[in-house]
Amino acid sequence: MAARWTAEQVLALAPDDAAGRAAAGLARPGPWSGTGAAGDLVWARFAGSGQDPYQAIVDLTGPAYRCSCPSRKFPCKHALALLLLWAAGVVPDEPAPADYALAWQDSRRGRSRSKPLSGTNRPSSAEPADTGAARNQAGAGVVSEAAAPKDAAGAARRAEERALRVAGGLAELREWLADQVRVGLAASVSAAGAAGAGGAGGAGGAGIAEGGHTGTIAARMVDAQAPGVAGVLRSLSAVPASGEDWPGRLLAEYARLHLLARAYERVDTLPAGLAAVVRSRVGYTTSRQEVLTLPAITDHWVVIAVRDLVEGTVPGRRIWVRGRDSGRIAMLLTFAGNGYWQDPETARLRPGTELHADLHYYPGQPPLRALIGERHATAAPARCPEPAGDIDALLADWAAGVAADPWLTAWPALLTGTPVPPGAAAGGAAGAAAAGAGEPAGEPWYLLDETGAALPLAEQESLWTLLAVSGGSPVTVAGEWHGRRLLPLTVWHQDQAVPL
Amino acid sequence: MSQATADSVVAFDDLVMAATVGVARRPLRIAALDAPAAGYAGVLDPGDQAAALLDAAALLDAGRRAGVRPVRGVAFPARAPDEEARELSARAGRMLRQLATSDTETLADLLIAAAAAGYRAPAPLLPALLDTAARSKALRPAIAAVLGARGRWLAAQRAEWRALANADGVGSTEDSQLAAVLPPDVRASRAAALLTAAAPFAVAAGSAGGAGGAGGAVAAGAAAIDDVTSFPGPWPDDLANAVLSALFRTVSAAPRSRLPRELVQSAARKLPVTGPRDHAAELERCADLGTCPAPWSAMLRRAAETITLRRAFYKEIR
Repeated sequence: MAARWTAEQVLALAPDDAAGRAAAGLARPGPWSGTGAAGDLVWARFAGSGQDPYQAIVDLTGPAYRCSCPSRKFPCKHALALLLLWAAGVVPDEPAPADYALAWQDSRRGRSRSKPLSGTNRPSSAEPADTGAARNQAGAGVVSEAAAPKDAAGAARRAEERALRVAGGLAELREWLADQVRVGLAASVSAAGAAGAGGAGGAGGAGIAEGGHTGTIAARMVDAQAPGVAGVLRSLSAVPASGEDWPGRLLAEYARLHLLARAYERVDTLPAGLAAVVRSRVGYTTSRQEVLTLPAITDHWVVIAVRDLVEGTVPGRRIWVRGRDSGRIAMLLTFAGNGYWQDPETARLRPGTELHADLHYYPGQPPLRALIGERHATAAPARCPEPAGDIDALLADWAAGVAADPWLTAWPALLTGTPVPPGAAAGGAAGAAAAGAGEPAGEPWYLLDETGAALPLAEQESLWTLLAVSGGSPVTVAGEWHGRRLLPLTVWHQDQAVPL
Repeated sequence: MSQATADSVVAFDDLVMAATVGVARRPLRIAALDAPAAGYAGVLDPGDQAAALLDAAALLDAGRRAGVRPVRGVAFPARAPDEEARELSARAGRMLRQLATSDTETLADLLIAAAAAGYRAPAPLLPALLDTAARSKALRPAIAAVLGARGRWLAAQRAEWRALANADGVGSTEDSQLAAVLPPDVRASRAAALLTAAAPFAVAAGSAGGAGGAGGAVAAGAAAIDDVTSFPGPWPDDLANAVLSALFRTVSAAPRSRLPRELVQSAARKLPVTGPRDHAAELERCADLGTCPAPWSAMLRRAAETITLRRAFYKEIR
């Protein structure tokens, strides 16, 4: 039996404060049944709002989690609450694990046995090729731990087959996009809606109903082995319901896909950096091993922001780091599949810590996504970073980024500014919003820098925490610029990094 | 909205209109593109209007995204007034955050103690505290006591919190629960003696009605527990000792005895934590007794955890 943890250690595993709070609220015996612990396993059933209770299991080695609830947070509040109960000594020791816990552990062990473990490379399962919104906002490259090719000739043949399949798929996509514009976005979307609504009787309706107006073409792109494109298409099913000016947003997305398909047609003649971007946006992967052979940058990498990606088909975590000496910014990305983080040491990094390590950037431009190579020390507390520029500088960097990668959707921001809630500013914003036309009504929050430039902030409850820390004075903020809105992710309270 | 004709300069909004209706119904020939894509009309697909529209949209979209400008004319907000009280450490803040969802009674005790020691809540915790205060009237005075100037400033900016901006807090030395005038030692000694006499706490007699000795013992136990739990914390040493020994004797007498939940919970909140004795360790020891049934030891460990947390918190505000 593993040594019992403290409640604080358990809560440190929470993906965010909200999950930790929710878990603390559930950590009472009432809703739980069949709790037990044996060996490294802790399990229980939780009576949630649904008909069937959720099954929560934690494997203390790892730790790894499994819960049948629909939450995308990882670990979810049930797994955390179960751990809290265990930490409080309320979970009785059992002679043997429950059947469902044992079955899960066996399936995990089976999987990890089939994975080769080698020297510097931590075990990582195949990264989901299909991370949709996750990757699509994140820049170049998706790792896959492809098994070492049995023979070079076979690998070349498979690569050729895939290239043909992708090319065929993207040609089909171009035709589909042109059709949308020919028929009209309004008619196309409402036809899909009608087919979905009538799906109960019609045989063919179900597929369309499930994926909205883009479901069928997205599935087609999965078949064509262009998972990056499929992920974007799936995320577009929500656009028609996203409020006023949805046709403008949908057309912009279609146009970017069209541009990607056109670029891929001549990918062999593009400059290497741009070609790498195009391939990665389509969904080609670069293996971990390959990235680790690229030149390394050694620095003290300060974690400035962490964002959990819950929109994709697989939960992921994006970690922004900044070199203390080089000033360079990099993004680490890891996914959770089958109940555990594929790279737990990366997933555990928290804002306000720094890591003395080698980083290897993925191919592509601008260089953002990176892998940790050799670590020279364990993560240590870091001081508040010094922002390098103001809002004008951020937007200039963003413009250069879009020029290098027209499909870019998220850009790292580290700024000093004052948050301004709606109505707090005496004058109000004078016209000409950066957001331009098509923003939902209602005055946004802003972050205002000392030059008087301001960016609208993405709406979220934690803006109040940002305001509390600021108290109307400038604060250091890290986050992501999404082209229309800034998403604040960390604010520094003196030297304490507060996640938002 | 202008009709895009063959010769006009086409902007992104013109493309949106044409695409919404469909170029099959409303043809669009693009002769020139709006800045910043002006000069690129020549690269548009010449053979297919729909493809040309998507080409043009891609060009204008990239220009639009890259050319985003900041908003000007947002006024600086009013600043929060300067603080008088010291801010609690981040560590103390984490303890309070944990209690806000699990144990609001202990939360209130610690907030009042912090206010009495001249501290205010850490700024990052203020939204959670204000939310808690808005939900629970009982916690409002304790939370109001640690809001500080920053907390009141923040509360004034949100409708749900506004009532807190001017709320009175307890915590000044005069009306703090902790600093309340302690009843005379006599009362503590009497409570301690009653408890010692009543423990181990007898199991209540069956539904037939407690005739004779068993019923009397149960009643005496209940009275003693009432007397102790209503005694304000932190308990004086002799009362603390009496409570701990009563718990030990009750656990030792299991399963013939009953462990009163209210006494354990009261002990978690009121056993003194600033002295040299580690009451948490004693409760742990009690939970480890061979006779201690699993649900009891869980209850005792939980109380020990609360005491450990209180001890750590008091260290932060010393």
